Amino acid sequence: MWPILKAEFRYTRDALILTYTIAVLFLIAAVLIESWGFYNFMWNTTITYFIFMWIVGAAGINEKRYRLYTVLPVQPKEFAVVDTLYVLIVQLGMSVLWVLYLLFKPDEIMPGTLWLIVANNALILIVITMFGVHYHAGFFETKRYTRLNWLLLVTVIAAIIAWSQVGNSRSIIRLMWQYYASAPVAVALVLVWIGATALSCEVFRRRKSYLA
Amino acid sequence: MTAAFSMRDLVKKYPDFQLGPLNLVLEPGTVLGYIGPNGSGKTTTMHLLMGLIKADDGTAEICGYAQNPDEPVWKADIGYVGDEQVFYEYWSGEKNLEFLSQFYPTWSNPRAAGLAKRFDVPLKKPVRELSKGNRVKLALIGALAHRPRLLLLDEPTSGLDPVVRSEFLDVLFEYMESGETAIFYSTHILSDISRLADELAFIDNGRLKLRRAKDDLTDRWCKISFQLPGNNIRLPGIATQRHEGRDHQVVSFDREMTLRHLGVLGAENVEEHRMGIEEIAVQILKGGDNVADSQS
Repeated sequence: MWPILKAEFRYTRDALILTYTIAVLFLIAAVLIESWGFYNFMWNTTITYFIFMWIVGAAGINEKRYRLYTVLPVQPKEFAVVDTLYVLIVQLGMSVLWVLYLLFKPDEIMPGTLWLIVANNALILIVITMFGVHYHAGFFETKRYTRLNWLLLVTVIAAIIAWSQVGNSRSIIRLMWQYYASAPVAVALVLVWIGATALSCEVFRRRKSYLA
Repeated sequence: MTAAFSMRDLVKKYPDFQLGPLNLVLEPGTVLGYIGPNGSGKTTTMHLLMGLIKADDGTAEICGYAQNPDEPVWKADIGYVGDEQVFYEYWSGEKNLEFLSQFYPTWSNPRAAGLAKRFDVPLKKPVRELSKGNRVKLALIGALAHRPRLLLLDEPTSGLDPVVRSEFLDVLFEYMESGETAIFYSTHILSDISRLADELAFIDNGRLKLRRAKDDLTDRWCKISFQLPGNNIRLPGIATQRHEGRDHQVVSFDREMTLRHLGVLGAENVEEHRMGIEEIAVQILKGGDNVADSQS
């Protein structure tokens, strides 16, 4: 498992450097420009993260990475863990930038900020994991799963669009600070992410084909 | 001695195609040519053996291990050159081999380097810049460097020029001489097989039609021409038959039996013509079930 994870980081090194360079540029801009704000900065890094994951994921699919791994004497569940660790580590890197922002602008730290960071990390990881579940479920080779699978994709995309549209309004922010940035919600989201990860590993293990 | 692989009632179903039930055993030190037309199920069989797809029914064992994806120790005994060669495309061949080497305890770097030199593969170039021939060669280096007990080769020479193909086969020949490796080699380029294979298995429309030693096939199959009055002559062991007046020409899959019968009938000017593997394969694959059944 570790050689695969190491290889993935080595292979995507240039893209990672570019991604974090962009994220650091956002950090500098957010620190220097007064009106930028923590919320917007988190969105900047999150969009950068999703674009990076989309490009790296598409390249991996295009190069049939799972097919390469399947030929190796490695358990399928180990590949699933590699995927989980990869998306987690890259996102945790973004969280480090969030913390750096708060160190530069300590006046923006609120009582629930820590839980906001935990909840946001978990939510981002849930979304990316559900994309993984969608991809792997596509190899179940039954019509029922294919329909369910597309429904899942549409739901996730609709949720992202809805969140990006309403998430910045005053009332939602108030609501978010009241509930979202709290220990119970953050812990619940982390548990949901762990559940989604377990689901992703199981769906991956049950794939009927590893040709792509 | 443990079989290189054994399949028992292995089935893979698709909406418009079913492979199997397949029952096939490959003994160590044997080269089994797997022959069939496009879409007959050759690649699906390879994918099943390699664990790239899951069977709907049946079991398989590789080098004595049950083919369990959750305990993939059996994969360490396989060298695989598939229908597509999959690598980290932006890495060099050298870096790809270095990556593969970490998974096989028996991997030999000198051996990989020796093969690369022999094949003249530009290992420093990114894989995406390699020609089809060099990609296949790189895959073969990756498949041979850990001295596998079973080599699965899925139409590896299709699309290669004759020089590269010949080099590829030379390396396989040498490899076979050095140990007890078994090779399962699917192809529709029959000249490759006639050089390399000990046995041939014919597959058509997902069903195994026939499996025979190559020498046995070339001994038994032949074209026979003869003269005999009458146009409704029934001969045993015949795949095809045609005549013009008293001149007859038949393709026999049981040379001795057909000749004996012709002797009894008093046929004149009997002449035998040896058949190559390519001709025999065509006859078997287009001959329907009667040829296969009568041979088994």
